[in-house]
Amino acid sequence: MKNEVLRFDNVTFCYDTERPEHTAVRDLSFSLYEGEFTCILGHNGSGKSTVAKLCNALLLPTSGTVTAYGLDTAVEANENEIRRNVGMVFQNPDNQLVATIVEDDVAFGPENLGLPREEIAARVDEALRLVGMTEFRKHEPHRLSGGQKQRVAIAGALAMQTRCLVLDEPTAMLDPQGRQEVMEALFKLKRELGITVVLVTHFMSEAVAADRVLVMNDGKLCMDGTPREVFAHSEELSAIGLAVPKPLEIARTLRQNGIPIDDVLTADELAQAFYNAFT
Amino acid sequence: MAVLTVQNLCYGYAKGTPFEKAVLHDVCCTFGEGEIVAVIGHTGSGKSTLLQHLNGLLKPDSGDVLLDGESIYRSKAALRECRFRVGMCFQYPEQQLFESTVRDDIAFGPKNQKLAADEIDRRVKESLAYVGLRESYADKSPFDLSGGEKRRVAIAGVLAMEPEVLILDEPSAGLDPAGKKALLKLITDYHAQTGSTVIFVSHDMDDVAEIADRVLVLSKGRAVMSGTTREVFARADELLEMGLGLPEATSVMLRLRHEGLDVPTDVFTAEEAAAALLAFARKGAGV
Ligand SMILES: Nc1ncnc2c1ncn2[C@@H]1O[C@H](COP(=O)(O)OP(=O)(O)OP(=O)(O)O)[C@@H](O)[C@H]1O
Ligand SMILES: Nc1ncnc2c1ncn2[C@@H]1O[C@H](COP(=O)(O)OP(=O)(O)OP(=O)(O)O)[C@@H](O)[C@H]1O
Ligand SMILES: [Mg+2]
Ligand SMILES: [Mg+2]
Repeated sequence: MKNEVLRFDNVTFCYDTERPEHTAVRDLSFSLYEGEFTCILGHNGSGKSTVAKLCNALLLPTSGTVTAYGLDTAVEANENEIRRNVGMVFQNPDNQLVATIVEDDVAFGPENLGLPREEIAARVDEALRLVGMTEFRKHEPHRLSGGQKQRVAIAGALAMQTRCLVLDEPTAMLDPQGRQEVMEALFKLKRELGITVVLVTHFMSEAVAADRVLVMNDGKLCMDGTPREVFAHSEELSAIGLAVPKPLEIARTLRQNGIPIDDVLTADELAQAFYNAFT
Repeated sequence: MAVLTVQNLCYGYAKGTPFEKAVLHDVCCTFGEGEIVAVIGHTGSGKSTLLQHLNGLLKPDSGDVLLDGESIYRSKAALRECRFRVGMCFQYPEQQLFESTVRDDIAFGPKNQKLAADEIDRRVKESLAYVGLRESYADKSPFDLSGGEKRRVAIAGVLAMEPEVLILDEPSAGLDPAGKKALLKLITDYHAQTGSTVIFVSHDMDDVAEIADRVLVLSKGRAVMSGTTREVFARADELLEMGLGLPEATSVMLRLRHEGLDVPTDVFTAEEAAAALLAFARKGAGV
């Protein structure tokens, strides 16, 4: 049996209950399982960040229930236990960076867990190393470049060593190599430690390697499947502001012009498929 | 003719403190009238710092920035004029949004320009439409918006000033694919209609390939490459070395070339790649 990590039951959330027309997510139901790598896609304002914040009790459902590791997020007594298990990287790092020195910032979460000093130091070292920010450990977070801030925010979440990580567009400001490094680090966490990862992203290329893709549209869940299943619906996706990965777009054009190529998701797959068709 | 010229610019942050840090080293570059220029570079390479000199938000330690051949720092009046002519959209919209409604935020620049009330109103509406936000957003607080919606408001605020030089620091970060596509079209439309110069930073090489005439590459605070988009992406190895990437379409072609297929590699967009592969297939099949 797969262990349920997060469970949404008919969850609705409204930022302003006096204006129900502004409901941000509506009647969401789904479960995410231990060790799964899930990507959440959706147009701007579709409710992704709201879902992310509902996962670890930063927001509480207006109606319905969110359960994390079997604990109802709406029960105040559960909050600490949930935060210990479900870590979060915010969309904007400025909302996350709290201390005046990078290493203190990364240590902030582990300190709140009441861990021994050596353990905290080891976690901070490791987290900074993973995101390539060791040389900036004594710097002030608000005096870093946009991408550097984002890396520090990721390090802060990594240092918590939670069993589940929810990351809201963590690579939006990173350079291509940094983006690749972060993606590799996340997949490594999943592979080697069985960490459950929930990644909100606008990069279709990041979603192709996920186990599962959830697609939001106007506050509702409109697709749920493997990347291959979801990206097969290119017309529906483009109708709701999304797209398919570029290699798939190229493959489709080729197929329409009579070249026998199946759906592919990555540049590698496309190169391979084209090569096979011609040799 | 160059609109903006950067001459031997050096800049360091936190001067006189233990954190003093030289960030830009002897940077020289020009931005020609009516060009669309992409600035690319690894995290921390100095892109945002350079951009903030182009409308005088930062002052170089040495070197100069010329607008139409004259230093923007020569007088207060010149600096003020520069701020109106060169519009800047920051990397994080939160750095820019501060009014209590979206309408007031977008109207802030035009008000400063002392435009008439009905003209301001027109510009607010037009800019909102430009960035794909419904008019009902005008009365919302900019802080009660999603990340991508904030980005759109910040871009609208700069467009409303109708600047001659439009500077955008990672404008497509956080936009959904349709929003991204619309932004690129918006940039090229604005450019075509007004003849403005556009300078933008991006980590998305597909965006760069799509709309830039020219690319400036920064690495460790130095301008290390500059050329047409084609010329710069032809130097794939050097770009990868610097932590950068290539357009996805180019990667596909390079991989095929690596496998021994004689396909062209100066291909940057999905359409170009599909066309090149079709041509290759037809030739191979003897058609
Ligand atoms: N603090 C807030 N107060 C009121 N409404 C809000 C607030 N935050 C978000 N909203 C609204 O809720 C809806 C969902 O927002 P959310 O931030 O979840 O979207 P998102 O999918 O994360 O979008 P993006 O891709 O732009 O980050 C949007 O219509 C947004 O305007
Ligand atoms: N306010 C500041 N005080 C001190 N140092 C700073 C400040 N802002 C940026 N820096 C440093 O200057 C260097 C260049 O930063 P800049 O923001 O220009 O980079 P960037 O190329 O825009 O990077 P990114 O792609 O991450 O946005 C970085 O090493 C950064 O740490
Ligand atoms: Mg969001
Ligand atoms: Mg920057």
